[in-house]
Order: sequence, then C-alpha cells, then structure tokens
Amino acid sequence: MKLTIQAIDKPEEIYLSLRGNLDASTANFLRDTFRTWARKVAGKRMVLDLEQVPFVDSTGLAALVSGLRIVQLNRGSLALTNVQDDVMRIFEITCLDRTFEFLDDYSEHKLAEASTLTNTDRATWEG
Amino acid sequence: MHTQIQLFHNPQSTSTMGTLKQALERAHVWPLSLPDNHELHLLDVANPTEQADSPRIPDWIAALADECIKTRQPVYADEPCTAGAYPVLQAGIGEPRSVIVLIGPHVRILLPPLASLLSHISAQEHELNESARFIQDAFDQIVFLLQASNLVTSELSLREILRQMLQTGIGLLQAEGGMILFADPGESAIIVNGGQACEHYAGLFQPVSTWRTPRLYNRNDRTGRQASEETGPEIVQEMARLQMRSLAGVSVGVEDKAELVFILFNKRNDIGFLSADREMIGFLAQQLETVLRREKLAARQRLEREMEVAQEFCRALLPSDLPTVEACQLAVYSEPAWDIGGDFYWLSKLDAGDLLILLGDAAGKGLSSAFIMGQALMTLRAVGRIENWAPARMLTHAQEILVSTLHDVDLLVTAVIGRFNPHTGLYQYADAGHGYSFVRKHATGEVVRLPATGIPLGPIHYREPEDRETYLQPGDQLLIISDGVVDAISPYREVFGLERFVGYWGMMPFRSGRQALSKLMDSVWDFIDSEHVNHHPSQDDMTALLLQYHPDQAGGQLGGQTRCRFPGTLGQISMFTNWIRGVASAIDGWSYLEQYNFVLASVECFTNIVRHAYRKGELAGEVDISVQVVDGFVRIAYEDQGMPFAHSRSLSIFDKRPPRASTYGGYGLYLMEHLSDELRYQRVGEANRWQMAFGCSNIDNNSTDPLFLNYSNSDIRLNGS
Repeated sequence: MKLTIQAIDKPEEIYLSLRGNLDASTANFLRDTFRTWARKVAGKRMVLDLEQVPFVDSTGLAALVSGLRIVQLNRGSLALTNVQDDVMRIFEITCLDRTFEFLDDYSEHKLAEASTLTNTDRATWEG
Repeated sequence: MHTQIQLFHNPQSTSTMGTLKQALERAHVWPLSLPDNHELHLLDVANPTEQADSPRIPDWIAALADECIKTRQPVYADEPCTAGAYPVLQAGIGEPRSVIVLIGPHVRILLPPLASLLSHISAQEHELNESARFIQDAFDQIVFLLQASNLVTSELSLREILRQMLQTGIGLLQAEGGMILFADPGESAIIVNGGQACEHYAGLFQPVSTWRTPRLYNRNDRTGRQASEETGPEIVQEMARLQMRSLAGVSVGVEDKAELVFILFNKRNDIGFLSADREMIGFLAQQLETVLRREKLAARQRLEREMEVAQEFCRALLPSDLPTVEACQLAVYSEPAWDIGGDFYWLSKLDAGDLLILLGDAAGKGLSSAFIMGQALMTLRAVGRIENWAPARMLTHAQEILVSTLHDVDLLVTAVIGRFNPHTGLYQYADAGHGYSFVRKHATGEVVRLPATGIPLGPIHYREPEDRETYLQPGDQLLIISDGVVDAISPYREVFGLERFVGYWGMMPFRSGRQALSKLMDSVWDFIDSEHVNHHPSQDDMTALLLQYHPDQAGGQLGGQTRCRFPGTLGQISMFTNWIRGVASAIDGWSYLEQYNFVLASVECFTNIVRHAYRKGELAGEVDISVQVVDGFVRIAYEDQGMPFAHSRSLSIFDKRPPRASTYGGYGLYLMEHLSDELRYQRVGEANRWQMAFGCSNIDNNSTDPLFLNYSNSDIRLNGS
C-alpha cells in the first residue's frame, strides 16, 4: 500500500493529510517529507491528519518521532489529528501519546487546492 | 396568488367562443383540472348567459380587453393586480377575432404562448368537432406552460415537452418583448445542453452554465453596468456581439452538474429585466430540474431492467446442479456483478469417470461481456468433452473457434480448464492467463498457487499454454476463483488482495468444502462491508469453485494452521501485512483487539528480520513463517538465514519500559515483547528462529510443525513467565 501525502501551506500552518500505511516501506518517504518542509516550518504549526492511515508500525512511529525532532529543531511545532483508534493504541503502548500533541475536533480541510505527493512519484514533488 | 384565465370574445368576430368552449368540453379538456388553490374561468363576452358559473368581469379588465382589440397589441396592467390582454389572431394574421386576458403573477411569460396556442386552435375551429385529439394535445401544452411556471406537477418527460413545443412552433416562445430560447443538441436548435449546442450562442452559454441562481443583465442602464463589472466583461461582450440588449439566465442542473441553460433575452421595453423576471425564471428552472431528475431516474431504471435480463441470461448458462463424483465434495459460489462481469464456470463428469473443471472470465462489463462469456462457455464446454485431448489443446482449439466466430469483437478471455481423476488424485490442467488456482495442503495448511501456464484467449499472438499436473492428497482442497474475489474493495478503498486471501484460506480450520467456501466468501463480504454499501458499482463478479478430495479424511483438525514463505525485502512488508491480516481474521474466537495485537507484533517481527537479519534486502533470503493454534495459544514462528540477532546489546531494552522518545529505534522489539504473551529467539545453525505466542480461547491442538519443536532451556526467552 503506497503512502500519499496531500499538503496545504498556509501562513500560520502546514497541513499534511496522509493516506496509506506507515511502515518500513513508507517510513523513509515520510522522513523525506519532513525534511522537505523543514525550511518552511519556522514559527508555524505542522498538522498531520492521520484519518486515512489505518496502520502504523514501529518504523512508522520512528519516522514520526524523527519528524517531531526535525520540526522542533526548525522552531516549529507538530500536532497529529484524526488518529484512528487502532493507531492510537500504538502511541499509548509506547507512551508516545505523552510526547505528541493531538488535536481534537480539528475541522476538515478542503483538499481541492492541495498538491499531491506520493512515494512512488518522489521526483515530481521534490522538484 | 391565484391565476385566472378569462377569454373575451370580440363582438366583431364571426366565430364564437361558445363553440370553442363546447369543443373543449366534448374533448373532456374543460374544465381544466388544476390544484385546489387555482381558479380558471372561460368567459364569452358575446353571450353573457354562458357566464353563470364565472365571477363578473371587473370593468378595468373589460377596459384592458377593449384597448387590446382596438390597438391589436398586447396590453398589460399592474393595478389593481397584474394582468395582460393579448389579441388572438387566426393563424397569427388578420383582425383579432378574440382577446385573451390573463390575471396572475406570471402573466408576462404565460400570456404570449397561451395566445399563440389559442390562435392556433382558433384557426382550426371548424375541425374541432372531429379532432378531440388535437384538443388534448393543446391541453397538454397549456398544462406544460402551467407546469413550467411551477403551478402543477409535471408528468411529462423533458423530451416530450420539447417535442410538443417544437411541433407547435412555440419552441421559440415570444415572451413579452423577448424570447425564451431553448436549445437541445439532439434537436439541433432550442434548450442548451452544457453550452455545447448552438455554436452561435456558445460564448453566451458557457458563463450562464455556472449560474445557479438567475442573473439579469441590462446593457444600457445603470444596473447592467454594475452587474457586468461584477463578473467580468465576457458576457457583456457576447451580448454585444449577438446584439442583445438585455438577458436573464440560469443554469438547470442535476446533482450540481449543469445540464441545460435557460435564457431569456432582448426584452423589448427599455427597462430591461426586473427582479420579478428573476423570480419567474427561477420557477421555470426549478420545474425543469424536477423533470430532468425524473428522466434520469427513469433512464437508470431502464438500465437496471436490462441488466437484470442479462444477469438472468448469464445464470441460465451456468450449471444448475453439481455432478456427483466419487471421493470428491464440490462447492461453488457465484455472485454476478451488478453490471455483468463475465465470469463463467462448468463442472461435469466425463465418461471415463473424471471430473471436468472449467472456470473463466471474459474481460469487460455489461451486455457485450455477457455475450462473449456465453460464447466462451459454450465453446469450452464442447471441447472439454473431447476424450484424450490434453487441457492445453482444448484451450487452443477454443481460441481458434472464438476468434473465427467473434472476429470483429475485442476478445480477452482468461480460462483454466482441468481434469481431475478421483481414483489417483491427479489433476491435469492448463491455464490461459487466469492464474487463480490454489491447492491447500491438508497436512500443513500451506496454500500452493498453481500459476497460469499461458496467456489469455483472444489476442492474435496467442500461443498454446503448457499442460501441468499435480496430485491432491486426501483432505486437500483445490480452489479456483475469479479475480473479483481478490479485487474486492472495502469502503475505505482498500483491496482485499491475494495475500490476505491466501492467509485467510490457509489459516481457516479445515471444514467440509461447502462450509469452508461459505466462510471464505463471508469474510470477503465482511471486507466489502455490504451493510454499508447497497450497490457495489465497483465490485466485479465473484466466482469460486472448490473441490475437496476425500472430505472424510479431512476431519480431526479443528484449530487451523498455515505457513508461507516471503522474500526478505522491504517491498514484501505490505504483502506480509495483508497475509497476516487474513490469517488473523480466520482465527475463531478472537476479539478485534487480539487480532490487532497479533498483526502488529507479527509485522514488527517480519520487519525486524528484513531490516536487520537481511539488512533491508541487501542479503538475499526468505522468511519462512508458520502459524498454529496450539495449546490454547496462537503461535507464530519465523525462520530466516540472515545475520544473527545481536541479543546481548538488544536485550537491554527489554525492561518493560518503552524506549525514550528521543530515540528513533527500539520500538519494534518493544512492541513484540509487549503485545505477545511469549517471545523467544533461537539461533540454530545458520538460521534465526523467532517465536511468539498469543493467548487464544480457541480449541487446543497438537503441534506438528517442525518450526515449533526443539526449543530448549538454552533459548533466549524474552518475556512471559
């Protein structure tokens, strides 16, 4: 299952909507995404919408922790939203639910104008 | 407000409205049946005695009618309420023979066409006695005009309305000083479909097709200039090019898609279109939308009926009974797609006692696919009965027949044809591009795929497939499915997938063939989530055909076990995840949470092996995985030939605490340890062995798999008591 990321860059916030599994085959793509946005994240909040992420394993988790670090090093903040119950469980088991910020009742974004990135099409979005 | 229609007779005219009224009554057209809140009167001023059932005509209306007769022009009044008088001319020329006076909110749009209609009737007055049908048509048109102003509910289809309007020459309705233009691409003029129809007006229709509420443009006054500034110059430029002074328009659409554009233009008076016109055109657009919706619904119902007929046709071709074959239990599942996919199958006993097995899929959807499927099935059934022919030869012969009979058709048929000998267990088959045949070994729960041996039937470059054979052991199951089973899609757009299917079917406790098939297909439907999806427009046909060899010898094993091998590469992780999900959902008596923990820990272990033992795929090798329900536990064992696990360093993390959030690793082992009831590691020769156990309330069973044996006290036991 490939991972697709749609992004909206707003003045106060970078919104990334993820779709697919976060596992060893997609974790590097997520890490690269964090690195790509690192330059723009200063003073902003980055919101990861995990509504369409049904499965996260330890490598996916490690990529998120790495992303948190990248964002913080670049003076931004990171929050997760719409995390499925199954996926929330892995945060709880690993006590990472205390490390990440979770947003409740985060309103839906219209993704019509968002640019779409996929891990099978990396060159396009990196360019 | 009520609408009144009153007919005034010109005393100078030689015809009488009385005659007209009588003709209308004979045709059962009069009195017009309208909803309760409407009043409609026919009045003959030349003969006051006929007015008994009508209210007395107020003087101001009589004055209006008189003025109209005198000037031969339409006359309108807005006081004391909106009314208009229109001369009715015979065949549109000469002296006015009568005047129609209309009172009501939509006078300016209803009156001109009504007058035109009456003029038409008037011209043919002498034929009225003989032509009740004409009157009926005329009445239909009046009803339409009322419908169009939202006064009554329409029963007519849009096309029918158009046809009637075109026939009577009122397609171009002369509105008060203006025109309603309908353009229909099918009719080459009139109501506009999506702005594509009338090239002349194309530039105008394109902007109007986005107007969901009516808009008005008057080029020559202040209001018009303001409006044009709001929406840019395009529409105004178009209006200038088409010499339009004023325009009122709205799009008419179903489900947010513009289907028609409804435009009035060139209002003759200098005021241009007003807000009252906006309201009126809004009413008309709403009514047209209602008609359009109904027409679309009717079209869909017609399509559904055709599909039902095609489905019946397909069902009729398939066998109604399954043959009885010694030492075999047969089961079939067949669920046609709503829009006809083209799956077919056949089972029959041959003279020599063998069983002929046939399953295929004609590419495409709909009626043409049903037709090709019928041809392919008949051909393959016929060649399948030829004794002494190998399966590959049968397929090639069928190819020749199909290509010669359906030479102008895009033909692509996958098919597997096989012959099973119940005495020896020998299964000989050839597979033209199908590739969905599997044998499930009773002894190990292993699922072995029998791959395609050639390309599908149809293409010119077809070449004969290979013949293959395999032996079934007592208790083994042979399963052939169509791609619709593995391509089933969940409401979240996830695909069921081959790996999940193999995992589920392999792990499912051995049951009779029929029970097994039924449970298997239940799991597919659970995945599709049929309760939440009424129609499955994207769901293909699903066909599955199962043969269980010596079902009597398949009993005694209730817990379920399976095994599978995966290459140790990163790309296999998602395959493994789907497989293990299938395995987990086949285990009876497990809660969703137990399944989830099992899947997550199992994926962690597989990922660990790929990343560390095989160094993310740099080292080539496989991972052999075995799952068993044994001693009240679900046990999963992995064996790989990669680098050994550096346990002396890694063991420090097994202290029941999660890794620190500042580190990026260690979560995998922590999760395996935390989610399983038992976690063991062993290095045996050049192999690594991992084993996890998960509590299960299911039935106990004895282990038979060598992967589970030979653990000793020297194992590294990483958790549990």
